[in-house]
Amino acid sequence: MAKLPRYQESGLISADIPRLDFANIKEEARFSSAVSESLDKISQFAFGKAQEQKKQADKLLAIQLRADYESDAQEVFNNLSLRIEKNELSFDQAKIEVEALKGYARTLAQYDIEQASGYMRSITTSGNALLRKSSERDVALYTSNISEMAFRTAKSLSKNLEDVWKLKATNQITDDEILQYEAGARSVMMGVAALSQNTITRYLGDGKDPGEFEKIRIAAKNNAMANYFQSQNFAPSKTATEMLSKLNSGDAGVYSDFWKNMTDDEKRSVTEIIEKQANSVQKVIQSQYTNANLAADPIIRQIINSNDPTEQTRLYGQLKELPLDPSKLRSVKEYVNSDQSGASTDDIRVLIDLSAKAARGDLSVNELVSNRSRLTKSTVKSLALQIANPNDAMSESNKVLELAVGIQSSNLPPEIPTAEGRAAAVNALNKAKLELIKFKNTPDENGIFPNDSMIRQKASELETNLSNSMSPIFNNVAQNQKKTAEVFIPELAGVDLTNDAAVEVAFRAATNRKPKPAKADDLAAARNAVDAYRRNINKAGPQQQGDRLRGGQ
Amino acid sequence: MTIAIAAAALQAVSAIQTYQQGRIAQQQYNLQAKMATAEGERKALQYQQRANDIVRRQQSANAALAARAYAGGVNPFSGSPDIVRAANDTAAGREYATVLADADAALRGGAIQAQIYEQAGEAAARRGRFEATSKLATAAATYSTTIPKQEPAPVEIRKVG
Repeated sequence: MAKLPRYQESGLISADIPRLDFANIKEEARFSSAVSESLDKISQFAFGKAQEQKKQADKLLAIQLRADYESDAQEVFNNLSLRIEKNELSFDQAKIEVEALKGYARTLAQYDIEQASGYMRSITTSGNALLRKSSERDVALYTSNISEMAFRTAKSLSKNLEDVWKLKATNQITDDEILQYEAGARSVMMGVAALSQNTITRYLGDGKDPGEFEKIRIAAKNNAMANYFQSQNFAPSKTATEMLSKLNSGDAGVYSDFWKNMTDDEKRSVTEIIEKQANSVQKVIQSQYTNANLAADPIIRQIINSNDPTEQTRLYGQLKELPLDPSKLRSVKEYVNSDQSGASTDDIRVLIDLSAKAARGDLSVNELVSNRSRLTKSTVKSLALQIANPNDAMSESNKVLELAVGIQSSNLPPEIPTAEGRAAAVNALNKAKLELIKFKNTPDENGIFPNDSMIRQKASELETNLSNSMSPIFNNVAQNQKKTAEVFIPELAGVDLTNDAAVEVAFRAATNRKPKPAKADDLAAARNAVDAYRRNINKAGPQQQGDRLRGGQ
Repeated sequence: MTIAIAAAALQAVSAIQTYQQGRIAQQQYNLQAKMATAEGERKALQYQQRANDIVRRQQSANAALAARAYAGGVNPFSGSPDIVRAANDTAAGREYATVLADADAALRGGAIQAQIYEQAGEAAARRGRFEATSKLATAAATYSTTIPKQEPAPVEIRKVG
């Protein structure tokens, strides 16, 4: 059979899945990328803005903080400076304090570097000034310590040098050993002084000035020599005359070798020491005599007052134990052993002369005793009392001072009507009296106590001062008295009350006053007031009187 | 100051351009979308034509079968001719379904692609708008940083020491 027609398949298969272009995803990705990029830009910008704002805020804060820190630091520096001045802070301690203050810069740096740098500069400047002050203080202390050390060294060397030179007096040291010791001492001085240039210059000289050490060395030598020259080994008589005589002849004992090589100025330095010490001894002796005289005066007074020879002899024995001037002792002895009956009448000339001397405080026992035959016994005793009792000068002087303040009698108050015036007068008087007592009991530079004449002179000076100080008070009192007088007798107004004639005219006018003449009581009271005025205006002094005369009543 | 204003102005111009670029891109994508749709339809049409061919060949084969059967005095609708005819129908039918499916896929593919392109166009436009806005904001921020600012008043610092 023939094949039947069949449908011929074309071999179709399913088409492939069409490939899609996912452009939307790509665009979305691009969009996301753009968003991300923009966000990045915005965030960067915002962040930058925020950073900038933060930076600004930090800067302002840093400025304020710096001001606060610097203010606090200033206070700290002030305190540290005071502590340095009081030597309570060392250099190292000051450095630690300054470093501690710098630490605040780290805090500032967190906010603003510029402010931190400025703070550091400020603290460094002030810190350096403080440390410089501390350093200078340390140098000054160090220098003063060196000066103190050098001074003590010089003092010690001075004594040692003098001792070494004195060894020569007893031949315990040779000349060469002395010179070696001096050289060694100079080295020691140099070693101490070398720590400071000023000390070197002061103690070792600078060419123009030989320096303190050289002066010490020479003084030690001179003192040792002078000591030897005043000893009995050199001058047995121990008198300056013998000493100087030998030295002038070139004989200087154990120091002769040194003496012949000394210049005239150096020799004169030694002889001046001898003379000075000799005078000083005399003054001491004189002072001893003077003090003894003061102690002897009461005994002499008793001797003269006594009529019992045995008693006089006993008292004379006490007198001999005192280091009296031998001439005075001799005079008293002559008096005790002499006929003490005296003359029948006083020789007027002698009496006047000796009385005047006694009043001045210049009368001596010797003079009185040598003139006793021309005076009566009682006169001699009276004059002797004045010599032996300088207290008379004191009592007289006190009286003068009392009168100066208006005290007529020691037991009465000042004649001043007001309580304040009286108190002022008494105070001034007491001060003057105390000053006089002090003057009487204070010896002069030579050890000599004031005599009667000097006491009276001092009292006169004090009286002048008292009068000047009391002048306003007395003037015031006088003016009050004047007013009192004018109250009782009005006619006295404007009248110079020291003018007798003018006062009398006023009184007559008051007496003859019409219709009511002055009463007798008023007249009497006025006269008393006028008298009181005159007394007080005189006490007020010439200035006040001048004012009165010029119409300043 | 003038430079700052000029810079800001340039930035604004750039922003406008960016916006326009976005719109242009969108338009392009829209065009592509249309093209994708058209392509899908074209392919679908091709598949349709092929399907039509399948039907014609099927009909042709069945017609020939029928003619032969008739010629042989056989009922074309029974026996072997019928079986052959069924086989022909089945094969053609199978191919026809395939082509129809392909046509449908082509249409659907085109539509999907078009949709994709449309979405891409929207994204491009959005990107353009965003970038333009971003540029304007940047321009404003930059301008604000370049204008002179008032410095804070200096604090008086006390010297120490």
